Amino acid sequence: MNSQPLLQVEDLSIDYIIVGGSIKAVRNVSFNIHEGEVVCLVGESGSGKSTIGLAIAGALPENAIIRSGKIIFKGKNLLNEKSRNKKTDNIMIVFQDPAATLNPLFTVGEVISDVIRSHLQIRDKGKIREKALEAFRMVELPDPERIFNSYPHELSGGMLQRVVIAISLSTNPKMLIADEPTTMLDVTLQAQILDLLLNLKKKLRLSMLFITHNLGVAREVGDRIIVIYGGEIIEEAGSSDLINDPLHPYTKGLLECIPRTHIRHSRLKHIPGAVPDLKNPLKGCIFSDRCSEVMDVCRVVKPLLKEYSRNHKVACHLYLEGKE
Amino acid sequence: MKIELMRIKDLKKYFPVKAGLFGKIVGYVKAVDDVTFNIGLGEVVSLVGESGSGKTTIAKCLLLLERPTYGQILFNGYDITQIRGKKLKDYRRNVQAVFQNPFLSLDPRMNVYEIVSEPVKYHVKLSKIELYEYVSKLLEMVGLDKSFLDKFPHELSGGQAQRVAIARAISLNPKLVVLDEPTSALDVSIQAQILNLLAELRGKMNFSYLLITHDLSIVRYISDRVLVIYLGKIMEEGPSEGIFNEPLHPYTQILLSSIPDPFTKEIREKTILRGEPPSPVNPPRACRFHTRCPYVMDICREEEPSEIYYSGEHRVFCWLYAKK
Amino acid sequence: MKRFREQRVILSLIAKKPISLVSLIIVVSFIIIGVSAPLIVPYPEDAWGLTYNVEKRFLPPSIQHIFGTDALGRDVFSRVLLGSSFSLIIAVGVIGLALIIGVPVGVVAGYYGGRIGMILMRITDMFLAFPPLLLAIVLAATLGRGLLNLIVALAISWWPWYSRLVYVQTNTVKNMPYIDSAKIAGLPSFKIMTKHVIPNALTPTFVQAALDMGSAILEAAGLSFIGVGVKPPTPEWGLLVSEGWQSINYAWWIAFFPGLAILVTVVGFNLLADALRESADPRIRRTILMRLGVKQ
Repeated sequence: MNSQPLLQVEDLSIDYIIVGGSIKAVRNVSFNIHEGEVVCLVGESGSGKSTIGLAIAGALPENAIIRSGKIIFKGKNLLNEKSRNKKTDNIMIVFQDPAATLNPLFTVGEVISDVIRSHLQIRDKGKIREKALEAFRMVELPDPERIFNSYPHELSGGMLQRVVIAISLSTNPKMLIADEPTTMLDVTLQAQILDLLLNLKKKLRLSMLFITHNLGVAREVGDRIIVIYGGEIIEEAGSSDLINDPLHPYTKGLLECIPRTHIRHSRLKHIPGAVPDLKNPLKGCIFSDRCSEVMDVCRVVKPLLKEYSRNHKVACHLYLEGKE
Repeated sequence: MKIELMRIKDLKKYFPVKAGLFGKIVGYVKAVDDVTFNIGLGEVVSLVGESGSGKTTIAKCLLLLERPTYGQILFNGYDITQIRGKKLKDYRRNVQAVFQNPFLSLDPRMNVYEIVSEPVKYHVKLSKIELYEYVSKLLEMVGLDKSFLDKFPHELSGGQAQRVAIARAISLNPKLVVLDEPTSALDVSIQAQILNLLAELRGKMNFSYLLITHDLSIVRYISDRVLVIYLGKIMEEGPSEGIFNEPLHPYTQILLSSIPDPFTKEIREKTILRGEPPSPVNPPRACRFHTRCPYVMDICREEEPSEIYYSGEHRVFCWLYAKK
Repeated sequence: MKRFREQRVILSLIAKKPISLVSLIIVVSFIIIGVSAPLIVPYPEDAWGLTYNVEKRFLPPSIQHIFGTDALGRDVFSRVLLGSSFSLIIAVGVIGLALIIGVPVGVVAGYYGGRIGMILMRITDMFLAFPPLLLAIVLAATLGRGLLNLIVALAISWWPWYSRLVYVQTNTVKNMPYIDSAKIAGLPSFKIMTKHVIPNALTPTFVQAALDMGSAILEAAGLSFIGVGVKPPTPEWGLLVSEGWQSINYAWWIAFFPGLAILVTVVGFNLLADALRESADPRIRRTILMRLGVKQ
């Protein structure tokens, strides 16, 4: 493992300005991604996971403000540049809905050619087409020539998602951000795409930030899982460690409420309460109002993310106290 | 002893495909092609399939949002496929629905009180006070208090909005509630809450549910019987335990193994479903699944498999189980 | 009030830009003046055209007659002021009538589709094929002069535009799951259309209608000017301009002030229309929704 991580997010805080105040969507988030590593950012809606992905890709909406922090990619702070050149960064992002990402008026061949031309500065039409077809083959699309000339509405959802992945890989990115890429897909299609991503990771030594709300998907695809709740990271560990030995009550709760197919539940466990209102986040631990193991200190003092055992970090007073 | 509530016989729904200047019919989308099953009083039947399977179309036919092209739907022994007027209005009291996205299925211009009281106002004469009491009681049954009465859908969370949709659906005390992907748009922890609520309501009020989903993990918890549908035809049907303990049809097996369960990465060998879903305008001859089946034999390509009873109530449409 | 949160945000966006704020002020002032004019007009009999003061003819603007007097010695200011009431009546009458005809046609055509939809939209298209002003002129001339005839003529030339707008919106709304939900609840089609389709589909149409009032005023003025609109001595602005036309060289004020009134009012409506159209722009809509905290 390289000593210098490919991506370092340091103390990142992001707000959204809305009518009547601001949403403190991301608060003091720090994590790293090394080369060739797939890190899964797992959280439910309102956790801030998509915001973090957008911030790294430089695609935040207009009303988002980065309050503090650094995003250091290949040694450079992406937030510093006055006019950040997204093309030379080579971080690509894949979204949830491929149909929304692709302009219906252009063939997918035109779209990928455009991306290759502008990112790789290649002029020669022949070479561009070659690279495009190569990208299509890499994502296991049948009949790449025909797909090249097709419009988005002529392709199925699964094919479109592969096309979008192909487009993002065509520029040989150092890092891919995937924001819930399989959430809208049927379960067998999701399995296909996840299988593809794992193959690509092996072949290309791709570094990926994979954003999802599904712990099962995170376990399959990720080397490491970061659990985010209400804008804060509450646990981080290797995939197996997190699943087999979850520390934070939220992680435990999340794992327990996943319905399993090989046993018949009499009643599903669930986490009572609702996601926090981020206009006024709780002063102490962000999970304190829903936690079954809450203590007095939790409501007052915010637990910091600390390493509890090897490569397993957690932000919870249950574990901070023990350390004393 | 099961009392039959609904019997669906030989249901077919074909949508014409028009082309050209004059809208000539060039083919049919055979969305539902000869489906037979029944639903008992107080029973939960799950219809499992992916996009293009026809499961939503079946639901629409039961709800009479579409009229079948062929076949019968018997409710309490009476064929409702052609009813209109008062008979239709009476039927509607008995069959209600909860849809996938509550923010689309609740009128954004109405508040919770108006939404939940609307169906009742249409069928029963109640005084203002009686109506208010009734709606409050319905909200209580779905876990919402009176403060929600004057809220609008955009002020609610996903889980709260879906509870409102459920309150509306049960307001007429129907015999059958069609649940069309009721939790797909919700976070995992909220999904568990809603599934528990649905199970609880069914226990108290003895509703029948027709649960339509592509997510087998929620099926086991709540269903009595499961039907697996592919490209408009039933592949397998059986009691819930039977299907999960011993899935017969290759498609069912693949569906089960495709679910990303965080705990079973090592336990189960994944079978990835290859290829693209075939077009429902030109479905494969003979067995519809033969183009993607890992166990395909010659006969699968020539003859459509007939219904084979594996045991008691467990039936499958697959040549692998035909007795020689 | 919570039903209208989007509209409130739009209003606040409008209030921020100076031009749109001015246009909003003009439109609101016009409505207030139009409503109160009959009560506050300084020379009521002049305004209604019931007088003939030979000694006061063609007086230039002065303190007693700030817009001067006309060929019959009537106070021009009073007539222009009362003219705002007539313009308001015309605007509301024309657009209101056009909506009463156009909305049901569009909603029914959109909701049912099929044969009925096709027939209704073909009829709409037929009307749309005529150049609208020409159609209005022909109708007004046929029906004869008078306020009611003017309103009817204009409304008939106007309704197909709303019908078309509503048809398109209805097509989007009718596929929404909450319409399915209403059907499942057992509501009859008529109720679904009035309670669910119209409130959700009609916002853009109502916005358009409110702003079309400016154009209605202009067209009515035009028709009156060429002599097929209102009858004298109605103090309608267009008619006032035509009355002052012959004496424009030596008594410019008689035609000038009604003309100015038309200009300011119509420009006010049009600028407001631009401002509102901008906020209907999908990109700006997204900004609005973002600022309301709605997830994209």
